[in-house]
Amino acid sequence: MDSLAINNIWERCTRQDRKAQALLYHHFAKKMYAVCLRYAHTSLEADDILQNSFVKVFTKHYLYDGKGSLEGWIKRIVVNTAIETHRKNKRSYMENIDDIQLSVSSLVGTEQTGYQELLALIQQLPLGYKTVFNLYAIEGYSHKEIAEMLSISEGNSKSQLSRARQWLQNKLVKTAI
Amino acid sequence: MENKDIDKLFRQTFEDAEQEVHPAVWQNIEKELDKNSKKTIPVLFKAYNWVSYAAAILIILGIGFFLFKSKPTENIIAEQPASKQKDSPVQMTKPTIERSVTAENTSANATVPTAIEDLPKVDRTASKEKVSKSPHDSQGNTVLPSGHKWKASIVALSDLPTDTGTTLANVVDLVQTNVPTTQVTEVEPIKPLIVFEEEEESMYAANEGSSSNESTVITTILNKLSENIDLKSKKEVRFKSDDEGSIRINLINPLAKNRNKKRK
Repeated sequence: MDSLAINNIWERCTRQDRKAQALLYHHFAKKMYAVCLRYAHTSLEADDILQNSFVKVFTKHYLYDGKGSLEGWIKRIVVNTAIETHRKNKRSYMENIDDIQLSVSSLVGTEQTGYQELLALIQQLPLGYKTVFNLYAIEGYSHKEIAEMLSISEGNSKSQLSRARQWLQNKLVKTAI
Repeated sequence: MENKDIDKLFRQTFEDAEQEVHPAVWQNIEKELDKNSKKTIPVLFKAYNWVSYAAAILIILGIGFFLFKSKPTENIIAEQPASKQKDSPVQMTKPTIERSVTAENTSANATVPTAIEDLPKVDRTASKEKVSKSPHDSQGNTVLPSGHKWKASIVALSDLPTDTGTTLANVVDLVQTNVPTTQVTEVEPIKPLIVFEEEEESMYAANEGSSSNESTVITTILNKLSENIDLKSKKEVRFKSDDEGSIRINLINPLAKNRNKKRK
């Protein structure tokens, strides 16, 4: 769908046109769900994040001012919702041992750093590292922005990032053997 | 790997990644959206408004039904000098019209009690109505609804008053007994030994001064309706309400018959 069509659909969404809302949702859902999976511990949690995000998108549509891409705005909402979910669950930014979604398959061969494997690695990351790494490395926020979003210091953000990288590196080396 | 390489690896892998979503998610989204849209219903449809208007309509229908079905058959006799006449209040909460009758006993005599009581409540003090029964009036029946636990104690009727214009008094004394009596008591008026001739004259019964200006939406609706129902005459029935929300029906300028017995 080109951007003109998207704008048209979005305009109808602001008027609570249910069909338009459905179209918009289905256009962005898969991508946003992938984002959710990176931040969540379980696919159930990811479902919740996705659901809450889109409800916000449709009910607070007026917050989108038209500047910047709609996709970027929606993704921002998804990320914020994900962070909020962690905060609500009172998970501490400490090492989290009980990772439910473990799918580190035994890797044979060299080109095994495919999507699923990397996703599994990310999901195994302890919560704090995971969030900071997602925000910095994939979403592209700065440490300053991250510090603001997570209510931590910039230094904290930096140290968590480096620890995340080390952790991932170790895992990648192991799986590559 | 270098730091940047790790970042790059992950970023490239996840940048445009897509994953299948469960269909239930969209259904839940729709439910949430429906919930939200229902919250913005205007004040008009709030619960209490709806109920009060519905109740008002029911009362109007009920009263209209009674008005059209039968004419009032009570005999109201006014005392010569002045008569205080208070009409029975209509309770908003009860569907039936409750009328309790108490009157003073001027000659230490009591006559046939008449009362139509609603089940749990008896509002004895709220209204006083002097009702007079002529001997040949067979309306002096006490009918208590069956299943009622109130027992009517009936004081016997004795001789007629000797003065003209004085009223016979009725006393209804309802005593709650612990005995589970569920009787329907019917009492005929006691016929006098001597029958006197009667002459009738009509006069206007005095009205209660309309001092209070209590009116609510419901009373205004009822008033308008009563005016419209009976177009030929001026307002005969006025509705008023008091602080507690009870509704009072006032009959304006009702004709009262004076039955004077010609006695030697």
